[in-house]
Amino acid sequence: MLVIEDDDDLREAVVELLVGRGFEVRPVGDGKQGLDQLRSWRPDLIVTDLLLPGLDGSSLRAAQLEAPELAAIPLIVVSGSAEQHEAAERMRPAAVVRKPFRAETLLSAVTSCLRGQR
Amino acid sequence: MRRSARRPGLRAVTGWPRVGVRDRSRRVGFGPAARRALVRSDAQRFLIGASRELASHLDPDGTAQRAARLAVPYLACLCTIDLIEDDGTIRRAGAAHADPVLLQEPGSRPLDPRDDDPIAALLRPRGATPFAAADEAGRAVALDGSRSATLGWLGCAWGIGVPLFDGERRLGVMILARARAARAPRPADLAVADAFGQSVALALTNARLRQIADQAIRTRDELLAMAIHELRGPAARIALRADLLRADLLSRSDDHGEDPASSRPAEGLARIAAAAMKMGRTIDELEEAVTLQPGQRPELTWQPVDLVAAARRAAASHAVDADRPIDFHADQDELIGSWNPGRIDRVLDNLIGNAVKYSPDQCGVSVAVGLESDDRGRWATLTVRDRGFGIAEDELPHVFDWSRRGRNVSDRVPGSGLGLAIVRQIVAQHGGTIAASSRIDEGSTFVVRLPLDGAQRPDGSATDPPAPASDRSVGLVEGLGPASPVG
Repeated sequence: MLVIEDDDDLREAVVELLVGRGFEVRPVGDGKQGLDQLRSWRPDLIVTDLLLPGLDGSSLRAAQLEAPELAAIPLIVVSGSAEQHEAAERMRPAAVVRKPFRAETLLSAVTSCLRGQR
Repeated sequence: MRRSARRPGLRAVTGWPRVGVRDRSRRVGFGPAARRALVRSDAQRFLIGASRELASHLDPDGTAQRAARLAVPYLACLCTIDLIEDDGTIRRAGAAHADPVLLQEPGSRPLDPRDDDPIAALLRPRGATPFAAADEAGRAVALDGSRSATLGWLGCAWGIGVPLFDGERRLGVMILARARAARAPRPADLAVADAFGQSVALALTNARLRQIADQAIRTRDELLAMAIHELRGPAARIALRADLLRADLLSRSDDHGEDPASSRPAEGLARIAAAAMKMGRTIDELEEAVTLQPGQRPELTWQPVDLVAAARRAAASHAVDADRPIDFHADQDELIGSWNPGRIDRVLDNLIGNAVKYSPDQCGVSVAVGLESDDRGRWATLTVRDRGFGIAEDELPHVFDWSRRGRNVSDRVPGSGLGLAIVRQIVAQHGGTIAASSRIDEGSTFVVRLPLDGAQRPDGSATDPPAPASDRSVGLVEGLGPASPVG
């Protein structure tokens, strides 16, 4: 799965959590790098922060939905604030996880999202 | 009065019967007393009009400029207003002349406290001071103190210097000057100049305070926004990192026989994660408090929300979190209104969370949803009741104030004091009402009414929903108006 998060420490922790559960993870720090990854790779799931430098989560999602071959990939939004919550919901994500979050919260969102996909 | 009744077009001088009458174009039938009265009522009208006009200007420079324009030509053919800046310079903030060609460019210069600085000399007295164009003070209109561009050069024969005060603080000086043909100032002229000066000083003070308040609010919101943003990231890192460490610890200590989850390091890490989550909730509250402040107009989207389902879900979630039963009762299967789902969840979360937090474990908490109707339409009601610590009678009226916490709970239950203020603001945004009733050691009841028909909502109409007609409410009944930010 593709993890897009600009906070280095948080990204490393998320990767550690997901890799520890046996997922293959490619981490990137901004939306543009995320989009670059999607050009050559089809992850089962995208986990993205909403506010990102350069290309933000909403624009990334819009670009993803415009590409027919990518549109079906489910997405989990990690959102910062209550104000961002509505913006996150507009992205039609499989789930929204609010910061801060417990490891179990993210894991259960990931597993139920992947289960729903199958 | 009798004469005006007999002769159309003439009217008595207001408030001064029997001293004179005037028609629309010229004054007739005056003795000196009548003339004085007329001048006085003219001056009063001018002063009242000027105060009203000046109150509508919100920045100091706009106020000063407007004041100078108001003074010409009624009080003077030239008016300048110079304000003392924080750095001790004096700056021309307003100027008007009957002949605008003669006006100097506005400027500023350091204020020289020496005796021979004409502006410093005019600032010294407490009241209006008359002077002739040839006096030293006549140079004050030339902001650079030069001997050209003095009152005489500007075609004036005399002037009145009016120091502008806010209490003991000197704000600046206003100069009112009249043309050579005009008569010399009399005590009545000085009195009118003084009264106008007081209006100008008051308006300038208000404008300045408004500017300071606006700046302070902007600074506060910027700092809070920065703090909120900067704190959320670390809270997220702490919570997740603590969970990862704990999982790591548990996986390594599997062989030791004892329950690894109850080991001191594992418990400590769980507490660290829980504390980071608590920090996240406080950050959420702070953020909502900022966006709900007067002056902020968050865009809310209205969607169909079933209050029965939302309240049932919130009650169940709190019952699980707190590991205690919460009674839930609803008269209807569903009550669907056009509300903001996130905000309604916040209201439920805060009210039920408070009921749990402020009542000991064995005391019951109940949540009820119902339907009411009145001449304004149908209302969904939400009643959250606890049998906990209660709120003192004298504190009940302030229970929805920002950062207010009860004396009887501030030591034993942690909290930010923002929760109920947030609830009140959200309910107001929805055009609803909230009421609280409580007795110490018997518990508290909060009743929220939300409009089911869009018309009562603030953006649906400007009407004020009625206060709830509840006989249960022994304390404050808060009727909240349209949601334009309440301040």
